[in-house]
Amino acid sequence: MKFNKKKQQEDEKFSSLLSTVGSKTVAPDREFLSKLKAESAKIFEASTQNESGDSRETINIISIWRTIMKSPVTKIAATVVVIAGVLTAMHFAGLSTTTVTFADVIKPILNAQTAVLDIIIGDEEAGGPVIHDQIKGPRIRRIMSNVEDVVSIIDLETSRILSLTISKKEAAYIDLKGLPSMPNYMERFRNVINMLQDSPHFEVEELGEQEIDGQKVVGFLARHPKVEITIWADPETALPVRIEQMEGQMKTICKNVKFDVPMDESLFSMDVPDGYKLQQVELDLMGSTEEDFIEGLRIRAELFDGQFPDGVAVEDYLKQAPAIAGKLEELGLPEEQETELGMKLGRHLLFIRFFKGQGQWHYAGSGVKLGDSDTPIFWYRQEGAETYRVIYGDLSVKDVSAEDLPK
Amino acid sequence: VRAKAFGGLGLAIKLSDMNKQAHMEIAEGLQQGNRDAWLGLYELYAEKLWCNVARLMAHDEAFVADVVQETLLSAARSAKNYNRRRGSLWTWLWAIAKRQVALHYRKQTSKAIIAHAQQWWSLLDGQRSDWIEGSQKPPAEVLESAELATLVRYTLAELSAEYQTLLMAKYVDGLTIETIAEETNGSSVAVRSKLARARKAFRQAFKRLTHSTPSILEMAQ
Repeated sequence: MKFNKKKQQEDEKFSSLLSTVGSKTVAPDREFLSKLKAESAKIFEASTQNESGDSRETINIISIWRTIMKSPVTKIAATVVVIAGVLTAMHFAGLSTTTVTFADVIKPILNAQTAVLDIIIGDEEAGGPVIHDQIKGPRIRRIMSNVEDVVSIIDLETSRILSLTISKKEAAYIDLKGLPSMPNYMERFRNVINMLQDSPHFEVEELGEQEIDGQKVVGFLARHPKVEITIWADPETALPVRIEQMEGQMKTICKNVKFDVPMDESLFSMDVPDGYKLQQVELDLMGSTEEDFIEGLRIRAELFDGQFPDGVAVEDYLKQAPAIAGKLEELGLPEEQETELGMKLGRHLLFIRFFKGQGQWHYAGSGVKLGDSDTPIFWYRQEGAETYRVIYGDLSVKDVSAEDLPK
Repeated sequence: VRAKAFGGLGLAIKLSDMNKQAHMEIAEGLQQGNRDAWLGLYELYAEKLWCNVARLMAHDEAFVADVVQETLLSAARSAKNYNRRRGSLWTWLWAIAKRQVALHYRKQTSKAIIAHAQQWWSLLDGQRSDWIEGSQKPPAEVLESAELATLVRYTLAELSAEYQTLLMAKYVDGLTIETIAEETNGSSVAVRSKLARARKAFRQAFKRLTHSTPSILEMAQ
């Protein structure tokens, strides 16, 4: 009896103590939960289909992009992709030619004061995020699909990004160090075109007529040793509607292009809106060296039980990013460490994005475990070098002659 | 009376069986990648998850929504690997939530809030240690204070997911031992025993928190 009474008192005391956290709590937000239900079901389905190799893997990537952008580490690496997109888009006009027809196609680009376009990195079918750009002078207002809550205003003149998270009223200035000088977006187009018009290596092939998204278009394939660009334009107006670019080993698609769309100046303001909480981040893009690339390989392998990624191209990173975000979430690192990790992954990514080696890079790390000193996982030739740099599974590097390269 | 009692018992058994059956179907469906299984799990636990997260995170709706979202998306990603032998659906889901809550505490929580609650506790009159370790209950004005809720919340956050589940089910939701046993795929005896250990862990964590408590303070920095 005495024991029972004591037990009852104990229960009563715990009920009174713990009920202090039960009262006055936030009631469930049913509208939020209802939206989350659909999104989580999509992710659940996609995650099960991924394993079985279903092509609908892409749903997962799109849905999870929102999650990625909430994690500092992947957010920074994603910002690098955003920046890569900026530079990519700037190159798209570098498709110049001496043919009259092609000149008609590029004329609107040369004369445009503003532009609106969508950018996709990698294959369109892979379902990566679409980057929506509004461009005016040296500024770009950028929204990524499924992260529509985050707006980035990029000022190429000052190498600065203002990132606004609308729902949370959070603002962050990201200062980019190490970017090449970029005076004016449209000006840059003109410079590239003028430069390429003088290049003896540039040639253009007519691709004839085709239908894209129900629209009749005429195509041109422009080739240069460093870049291959396909432009599809409206045969009536000569306005480009889609531009596909293969630079090195990176594919970029620019679509839904419109020029001289009237846009309010306020859309491009670099001022923090009233009521927003401000953060400041500095992203150093200098020094994307071989060491940075190797460090990124190490991080990516260590996150996945020592297994190197299936690919190291930008689009491969985009595909793996949700899984990286998940792993980092499990680690629960302090924000500072996450930011540092994000910078490292960013620089790793930039090595490939702005690959400065001679010819092509080769990756063979899929299925290889970290520490495997016998298996080459990556090789490339530095500009002007006679031998190749070969990175092995233990992340050691050797100089190897062309005839001794892995077959 | 006897017939009525048996009738009631029979109904209880049937409900319990139905519950188990539903859980089993959901668990199997998750492994097979069945969308309806995920939706079933969601229907069963999304609101409960919200309520329990809210208990640990005070009154900030945005943070509660964040943690609930992260938990459910993370669960959706890994649901196909759910294994019934490792615990009930709710235990599995709450273990994910507990990680998210801890992550939130590590990143967002202000040290000043705990410091204030600790100071408030140290200045209280009365048999403070007896309120936690002995048989006495704290007086009503203490029980109604926001500071005590903060201390209880942080103490709970330090415990394992299993202890959190048990304590909240028993002392906040007021569930019976039998219902908890059913929800956690355990026996009544095991639940009683684990509850005793959970209360002990709570008392120890509370004591640490109110006596300079470096681990929790570090967690909140």
